[in-house]
Amino acid sequence: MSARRRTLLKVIVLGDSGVGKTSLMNQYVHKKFSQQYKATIGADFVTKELQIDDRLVTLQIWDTAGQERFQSLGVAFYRGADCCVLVYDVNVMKSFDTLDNWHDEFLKQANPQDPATFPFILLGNKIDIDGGNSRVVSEKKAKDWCASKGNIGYFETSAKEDYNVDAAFLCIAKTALANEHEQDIYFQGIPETVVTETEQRGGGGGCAC
Amino acid sequence: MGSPSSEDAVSARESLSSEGRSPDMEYSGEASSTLLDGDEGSRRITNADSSALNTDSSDSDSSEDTEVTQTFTASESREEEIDPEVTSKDDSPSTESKPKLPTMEDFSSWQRIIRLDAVRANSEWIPYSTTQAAVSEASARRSAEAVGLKDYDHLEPCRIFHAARLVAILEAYALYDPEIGYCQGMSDLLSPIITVMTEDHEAFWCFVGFMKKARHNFRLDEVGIRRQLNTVSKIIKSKDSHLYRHLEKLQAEDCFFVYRMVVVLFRRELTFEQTLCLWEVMWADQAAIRAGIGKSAWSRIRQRAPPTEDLLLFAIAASVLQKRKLIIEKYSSMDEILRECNSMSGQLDVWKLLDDAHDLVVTLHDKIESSLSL
Repeated sequence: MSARRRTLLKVIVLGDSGVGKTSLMNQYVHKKFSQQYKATIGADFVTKELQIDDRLVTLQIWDTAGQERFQSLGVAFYRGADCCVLVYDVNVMKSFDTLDNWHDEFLKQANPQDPATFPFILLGNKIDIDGGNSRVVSEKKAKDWCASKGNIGYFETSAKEDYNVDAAFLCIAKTALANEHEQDIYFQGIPETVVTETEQRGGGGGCAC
Repeated sequence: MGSPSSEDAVSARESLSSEGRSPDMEYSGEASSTLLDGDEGSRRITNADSSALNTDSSDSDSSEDTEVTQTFTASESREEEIDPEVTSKDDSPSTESKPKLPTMEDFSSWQRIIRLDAVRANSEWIPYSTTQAAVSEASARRSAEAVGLKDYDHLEPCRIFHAARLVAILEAYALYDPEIGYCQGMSDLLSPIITVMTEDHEAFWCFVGFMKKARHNFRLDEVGIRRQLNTVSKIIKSKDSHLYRHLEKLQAEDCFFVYRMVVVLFRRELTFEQTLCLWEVMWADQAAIRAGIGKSAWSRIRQRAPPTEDLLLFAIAASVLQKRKLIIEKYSSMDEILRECNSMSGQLDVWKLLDDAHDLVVTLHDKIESSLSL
């Protein structure tokens, strides 16, 4: 069956400098956190094997530089992506304001077959900071944005406290898998629904899948 | 104990607005004026000498000044005298096309990213500057306050101090060269400089000298980075057609997998000490070229590699060629090669790398140089 041909899922993580892209990935894959991750230059990736509904998949998560100065990078690394993860810092308004740019720029550069249905997931990171008192982007505002982009999934996370990170990436993997499946069987209609996993823990958002 | 004070940091910035006109960094009038207010505008037309020499419109960052000692021993007022001898055909920001890419970067966004990167700079430098490592907490905090640093409470005093110096100099640089401003990776380049130089104003001018060549790595139009990746690709192609064909098969012949090595000049892959070694050998080559030690003199000493502007790129190619067997036999995607390159950190022997690079220079120098000038 063609859907089993490829089990590598490519996920691109985008967002402003310092929102915690590298930290989220490292928390998810290596279960560790550091405040000292250096700025990502160019791109790098980590991989994680996981099982989703009897299928063993390799999630290849691409970390990118947050200062989007170099266009050619996008073309080189976004291609073939199965899902795009947008990250912002709930304490920095600008990192939320630039989401539209990241979203549009990704579609422009990755040039997916069907931009209108290409899957995105939004993560609002650093919800731990100052007990939430320095937060400037409300959950509602973020969810409204997600709704305006075709109901993309939203998770509030803390890479530092390892809050909601697994749930978010599980959803990301499923979303990517659903998209990959569609591509494989050339099914361009309504997105496939995947049974909701019980592992999804905690509040702060959900997953369309 | 000669520990630099926060005033040094401030003075580096102040010197810009007073008389420290960027001597050989010309801008075509409109290219960057939107980024700064009026008082900076005048410096773009300060001296004519460099632009007269800047005839080549190619991006090539291959022949610019990185002569650090010269730059920093010179007082700021001497900068103009230095200019003619260090300016070469390619040092031509004046002929760069104005970046057309959509960018929302302004000074405040540079400031934000500079602070972010400064606070997360690593501590590798500490053993190499005992005086700075021993800075008192009070003094470190004073420096941090002077530059408006925030979120540094988790850092030890020496790292706060280091971060504050990075901020002071990088902000000054962003004002000095608004076409480049700040780009992530620049703090990687500055950190070793401030480690060995305790005075901010000296470190600043030293960094300016370094950036004359390196600034092309951070250009918005990406021409500098593309040229260098292209050169690495040519070196590999000329040296090892088997490996090159494999890269072509994987659609990786553009050598994007060495991107980080190019952008921050191997800083991420080498240790602090190794980085200084490599950079100093590179600078020595560039100084030799400026001193007019041309190919003819070197061709008589046949065993030695002639000085090249692109030693870094030969070293990068050498690091890839060292992995040729692995790449050809085991890797079937660009991703895997990128992974290999990104994980070279701490695995490299800088002397072996330089030996291999020099071997490549001996056999390929003329070929690469001439193919690039076509």
